[in-house]
Amino acid sequence: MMTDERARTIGLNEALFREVNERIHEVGEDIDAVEDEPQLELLCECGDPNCTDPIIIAPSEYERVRSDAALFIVAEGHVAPDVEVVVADRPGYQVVRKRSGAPEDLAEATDPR
Amino acid sequence: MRRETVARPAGLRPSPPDAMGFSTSSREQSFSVATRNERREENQRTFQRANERLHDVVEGRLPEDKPVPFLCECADLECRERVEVGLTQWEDVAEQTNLFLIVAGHPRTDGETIVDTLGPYEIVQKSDGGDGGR
Repeated sequence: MMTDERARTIGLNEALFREVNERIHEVGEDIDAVEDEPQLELLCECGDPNCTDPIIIAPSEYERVRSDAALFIVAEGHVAPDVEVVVADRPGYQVVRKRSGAPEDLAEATDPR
Repeated sequence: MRRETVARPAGLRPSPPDAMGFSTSSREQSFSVATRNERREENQRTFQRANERLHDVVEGRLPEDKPVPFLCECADLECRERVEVGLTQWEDVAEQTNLFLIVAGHPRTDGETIVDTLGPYEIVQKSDGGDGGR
């Protein structure tokens, strides 16, 4: 069983990489101005701070995920089952929803939108 | 302030709690401070790694002088303030592995000193020459 502190650390790491992805998305307009980019190249939002896996995602899909503070995008197999459940399988990544309670509360508290 | 729960070396008994219910031996306090500082250093390394990823994704795809919203590399893992500098400016700091770029006044780890400023930001240096995870 995962400790509360461990779960919180995972949640904060995931929230951190969600924040980084938001910043990549923010500068994406300038990237689009430099080159034609039909897809966003973002980062896995899993709880491992050493993860370097990229996530290739359509901007419209990314917006759908970001519209719900409890949703995160992670590389296949990077799910932390104690704090989240897979709600969608996509090519190259999965969408996970934070479990209700502390994981969801933390996700909402750190939502950059 | 919540006390840290730390692994206790064999043979070290906890001191009786004080009126607030905390153990107060100086040995325990030193463990607590060390753990807190280690955690703050790890927070900074986490921010550095995140900024490395951000840098790698946008490198070569943005004008050099376009400000990039990097993360403040302070010691507070919940900090989400921005350090908006150009890629080259960030690289100049990042290439020196014991330097961190933070919003002025944000928390640092013990022993870090401000060695320069970059606009409204501070460049802080770890005194132990740690590689900062880069």
